[in-house]
Amino acid sequence: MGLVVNNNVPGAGVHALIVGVSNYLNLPDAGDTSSDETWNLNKLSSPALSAFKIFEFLTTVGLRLPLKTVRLLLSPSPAELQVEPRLANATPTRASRAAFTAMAAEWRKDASNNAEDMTFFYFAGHGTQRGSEDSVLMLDDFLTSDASLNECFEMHNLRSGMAPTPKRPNIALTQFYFVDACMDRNAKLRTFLNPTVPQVFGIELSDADRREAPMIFSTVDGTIALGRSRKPSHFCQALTQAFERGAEEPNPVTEKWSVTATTMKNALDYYYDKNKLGTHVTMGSLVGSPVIRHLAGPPDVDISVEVQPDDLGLPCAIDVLDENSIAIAGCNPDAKTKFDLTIKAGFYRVQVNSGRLKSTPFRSKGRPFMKPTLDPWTHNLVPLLKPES
Amino acid sequence: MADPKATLTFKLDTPPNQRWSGALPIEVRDEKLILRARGVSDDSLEVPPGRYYVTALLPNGDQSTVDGVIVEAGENKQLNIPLSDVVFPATLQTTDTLSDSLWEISRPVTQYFFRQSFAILRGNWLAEKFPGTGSQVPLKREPTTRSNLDIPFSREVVWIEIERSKRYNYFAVPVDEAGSTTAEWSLDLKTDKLTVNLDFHDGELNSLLDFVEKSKANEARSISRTLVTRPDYYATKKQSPLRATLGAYVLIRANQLDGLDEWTSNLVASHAWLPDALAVRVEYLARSGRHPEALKLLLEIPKSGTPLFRSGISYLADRAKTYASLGAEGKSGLQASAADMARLEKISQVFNDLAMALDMSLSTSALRQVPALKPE
Repeated sequence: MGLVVNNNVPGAGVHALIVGVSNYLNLPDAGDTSSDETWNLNKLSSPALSAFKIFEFLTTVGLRLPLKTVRLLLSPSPAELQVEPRLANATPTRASRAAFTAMAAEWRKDASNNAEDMTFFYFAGHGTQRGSEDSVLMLDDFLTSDASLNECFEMHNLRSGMAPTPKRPNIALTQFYFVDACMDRNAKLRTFLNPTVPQVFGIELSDADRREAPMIFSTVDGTIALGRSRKPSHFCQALTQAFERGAEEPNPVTEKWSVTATTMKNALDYYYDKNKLGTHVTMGSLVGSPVIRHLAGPPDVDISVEVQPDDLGLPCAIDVLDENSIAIAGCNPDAKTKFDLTIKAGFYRVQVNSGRLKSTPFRSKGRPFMKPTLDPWTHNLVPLLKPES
Repeated sequence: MADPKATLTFKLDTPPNQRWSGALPIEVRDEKLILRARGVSDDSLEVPPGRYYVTALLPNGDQSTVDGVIVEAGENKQLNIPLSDVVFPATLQTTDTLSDSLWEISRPVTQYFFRQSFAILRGNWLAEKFPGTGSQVPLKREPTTRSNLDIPFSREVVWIEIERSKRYNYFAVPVDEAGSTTAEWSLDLKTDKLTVNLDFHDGELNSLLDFVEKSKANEARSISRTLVTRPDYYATKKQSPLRATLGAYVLIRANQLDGLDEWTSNLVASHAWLPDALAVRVEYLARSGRHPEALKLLLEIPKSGTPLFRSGISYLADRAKTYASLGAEGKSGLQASAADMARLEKISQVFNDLAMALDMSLSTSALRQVPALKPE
């Protein structure tokens, strides 16, 4: 299940490498005390499930291009296996450093044949961030050898190794990297004078680097892990939602709505804000505007409408009108002056019918809603009220 | 023959003396909401004849839309976009009061109670980490009890030190040539969250930084692209090395490199005091595959100083690491001497440490829990 190879797909396609590490061999169980010796880290119970969910999305729903190869590497926790028994046989081997190195080499080889291809990398597990361009990520045999970082890898190395070079002039130029890890600034890592992590890829000087290769980190540093026990992580949840709804523009030619690196980041931040996670994702590397998916039509967009004052009196009707001035059915069934609703991305106005207005109905200026927003769309009608008798 | 296009020019009635002014992003959409043009206020855009929604966008997500804008072929229409419904934030002010002065006098006592102390660092502290680099001007450290300051331009860049329980935090205060920056900061005792507010007293620079801070990439790119590709648009405006540098960072992040060769070269030539000029130039050259040139400039970084924007530190750490690891393997092809490679190794180590200490919640450089930076 964990390996899909279909290099016979004509034209461009996607090469994915997905890794989820929960059951760290040398870390104490979740909830047990973890010492400085084990970097104050514990086993996790969400990354393998998250990685599997992403794998399922790619293999069932799909991205902009057809899948050519998918490689999945998991080390699930017992708790995750209870929730999702398919994790037991999902991958041929655990997510060790050796297995990762071998799979990454195959992934790069497959992705080196057509510059129009797209690569997709997702890692969930422990990690620590080094600026907006790098992080050190830990595989399941972390702390097995005397050199503490031997069973880790660096995103800097992975990303640099995927650059176009004279040896690999046709490597996929669209590359997406997602890192779903607690990006806490690990104190232990900072005690190393010059921490070196063994390379996964040998580095060569790149040609002119025309890649569009955004790298999205699930959390900013200093924040707690957002993993959820026995459930896919918030980042995973937000990412799949962004794949399905995170488009903001119709394509001028096809009129399809494109989910790009930038719109995905906006959708992820919206999810984090809405769920009050107290952090935002960070995006680095060569961001560009690569399209990861197309939506057939305008996405659903969450908005909030507020009309002031809140005592407009009865009868009072507040409607949201579309670009043809047709009211959205059932958008405000309780006739509230503040309400949330989900609409298709588009152009809208608010209409208020109230006996307290000097002139009724009031119709607001129109506004395009291309993406969700938490700030209410506020209409202050106080100056338009009839004088109190 | 193709239909002649129409021209739309946009005017915004931005309120005076507020945080944002000048070039704000404009979007022109047709009736299917397809984006037909993107630009900035006071500028002109060409569109096919038709009916449009025109929207002005602000850094906080507010917007103002004019709908039903109809233009005929060949027409040149000026469009005023009202902003009366939109609230502009006020400029940042310092609070230089009598109590501040008294507080300054009583500093030793107040610091004992407040568990935090502040200091202003002026000069290139990075040079101190590279023996022999020899900064021409010694690093200066001036304690203060203030948590907001107006800092006028000087060629000595300014960082603020926040010390708490012998743990040191630093953040950069970029100041534009011939200008001043108001900085206001706090370090939360419970959460350790560092908050830094900056006001450059330049509405265009403030708004560009705010678009970046709020992750509004399309808007920041729109302004930055106009900046780099339309010198005529900016010819009559106040020149701003910080805006020019921030725009370059935005376009490099987007990997939109057209026009950046001359742009980044000019930054280095004209604004040697600004460490970020070198950082954006190094990154541009490396992205373009011009690695020997990038390395040559990278080796100059200790003399120039630590970039004032977070991306600059990350980029330099990234490039130094790549070049150093290639040098260590003896297969760099970078044509560097042994002394250069030794210096590169040291730069890589130092910038690795800096990148690891970066506060990722800020766009400007802030270093968390690092060893004290002391003048010699």
